[in-house]
Amino acid sequence: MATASGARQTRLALNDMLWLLAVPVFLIVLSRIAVQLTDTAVVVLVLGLALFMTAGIWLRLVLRRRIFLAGALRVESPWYRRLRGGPLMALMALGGAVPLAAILVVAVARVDAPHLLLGMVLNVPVLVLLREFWSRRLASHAVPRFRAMLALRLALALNLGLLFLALATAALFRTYPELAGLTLTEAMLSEAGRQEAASGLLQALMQLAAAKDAMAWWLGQQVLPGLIEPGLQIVGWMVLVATDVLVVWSYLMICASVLTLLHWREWHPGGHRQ
Amino acid sequence: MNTQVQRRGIAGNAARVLGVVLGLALLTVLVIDQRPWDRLFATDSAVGIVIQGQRFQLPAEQSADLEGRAARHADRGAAEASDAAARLVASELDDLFERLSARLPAYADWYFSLRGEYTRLSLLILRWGGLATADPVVDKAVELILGGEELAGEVSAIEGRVEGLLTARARELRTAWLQELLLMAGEPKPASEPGEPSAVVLLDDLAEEFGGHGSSEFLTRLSASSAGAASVGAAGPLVARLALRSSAAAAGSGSLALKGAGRGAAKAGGAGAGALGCAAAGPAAWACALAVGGAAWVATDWALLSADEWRNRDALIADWEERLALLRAELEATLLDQYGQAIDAWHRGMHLEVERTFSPLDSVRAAPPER
Repeated sequence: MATASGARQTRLALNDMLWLLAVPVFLIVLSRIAVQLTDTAVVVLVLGLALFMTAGIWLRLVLRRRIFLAGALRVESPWYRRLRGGPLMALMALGGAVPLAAILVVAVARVDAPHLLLGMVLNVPVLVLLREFWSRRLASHAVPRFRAMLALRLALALNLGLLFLALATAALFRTYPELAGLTLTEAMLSEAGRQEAASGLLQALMQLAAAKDAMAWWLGQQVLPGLIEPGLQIVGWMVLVATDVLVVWSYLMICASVLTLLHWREWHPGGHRQ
Repeated sequence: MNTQVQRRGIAGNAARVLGVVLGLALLTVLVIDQRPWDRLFATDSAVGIVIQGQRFQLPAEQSADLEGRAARHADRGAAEASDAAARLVASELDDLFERLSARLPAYADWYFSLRGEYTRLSLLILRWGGLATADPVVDKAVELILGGEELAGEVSAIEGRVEGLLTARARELRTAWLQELLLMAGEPKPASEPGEPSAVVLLDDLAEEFGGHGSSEFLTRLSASSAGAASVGAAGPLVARLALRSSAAAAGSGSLALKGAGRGAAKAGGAGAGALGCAAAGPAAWACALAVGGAAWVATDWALLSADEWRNRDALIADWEERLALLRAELEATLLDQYGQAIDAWHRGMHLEVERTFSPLDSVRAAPPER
């Protein structure tokens, strides 16, 4: 019986991995075509991604709210129903998801080295394995109906740290433009000027991101070497040149949304009131 | 029954594991390897080109070879310019040295004349006395054969004509390249027209480089060469002097001195024999001896010079033909070296500009724009 349950868990985990592979596929294709998209297509893309993220975020927020309500309010209280999460919560989730989606689209459109996309591909089994790990560890601690959500939450937090570290380490071994002899403004303008996209909106966002990168590189080349110890410089470089945490977080949010939508029926407490 | 279900479950999971591994491998390859994307997007969009403010659009299949075409134009243009310069320099120097050779008989006439003989003698005496430093033979040769400073002017004129030829060649190269582009592109395309290309290449800098006005500064180098031509031209007489001195040291000095000494002894003998005939003239014997001796000296000198000319005139002219050929070879090598350097720099500049112009295009076509 235990073997059958284990096989079922494995099957579910592998199914999740297969579903999650769709996310890097989408991002890889997007990285190749993003600069050719029109303004309208970019807006639709960002909104679509944001709505997809919102669905997952909102569902998880609802679940968290249920945990809180289950511990804080009586089931018969009218506030139990009022506070369980509705359109307002979804709207707030959308407010957070739109910038995250835009950041991810811009980062993917600006990809000029494989390490970010490669990290996203290889992260698929890592996320599922981390979730399985936490799910097993929480088996004897968490309430069964909230265990999956808690495991996912912990897996996301740990995965964020691991993926960020991996990308930051990879970023250390890349080569960057030589900005010696340029002022900070010149370096930022130079990098911004190299951005090209069919969509004016996307190009403007890419220019902002490029200027931010140029500022990091300039500081890393001109300021860090003279200020701190060599050992600390590596840490400083990791902070400066590593892929933005927000990019990693927005990618993980999409993955989490895929998993949430796949398992919503199992995770959702529904109308069950204890 | 239960075992069968378990087996099916294990087989299903094995298939899923295989699917995950294959999916990860495929995606990794797609991320790392650019070639599948190149093939996928190779023909998806046209390429825009902008020349002198006019925008054209090339179909993707034609734009793929834009860089190759430009590089081939650059190679052909540089090679043709080099050949044309070499041909013109050779032709111009042939004409110039043919005219110089035609002056050799006049120089030989002077060399074997009494006037030339006494000019040389008097200047040699002055040189021995420290009153003159120039070599009279060299000065006369420079004046009669090379026309004094005329050679410098001639070489400068040749340089000017070669500069004009190369300028025209650069202009023709630019025109030929632009014509080919325009034939490929057709009518200019308004900026507002739909179907905007994802990549736009600005070709003005490359056109400037093809025309010799780019960063390699080909035409400026040519002008500098022409300014240097003046130096080559001014060096012409110097080269001629050096040729004369070396030649005189090698061949002329021994034989000419012997000939001069021989002629001096013969003239002294002739003058003495004439003066002896005046012994019976009494008190006028000294005047008679001077007149008859002088006449005999000159007559003997003229006879000896004529004999010398009869024996050595052809050798003198042949010797000078050889020296002029050496001078011509030196001048040609110097001029071609200057043009070769300028054309090489132009060629490198064109290739650099081709690379600078089209590399971003490659990156745009092959992947998202460079960031």
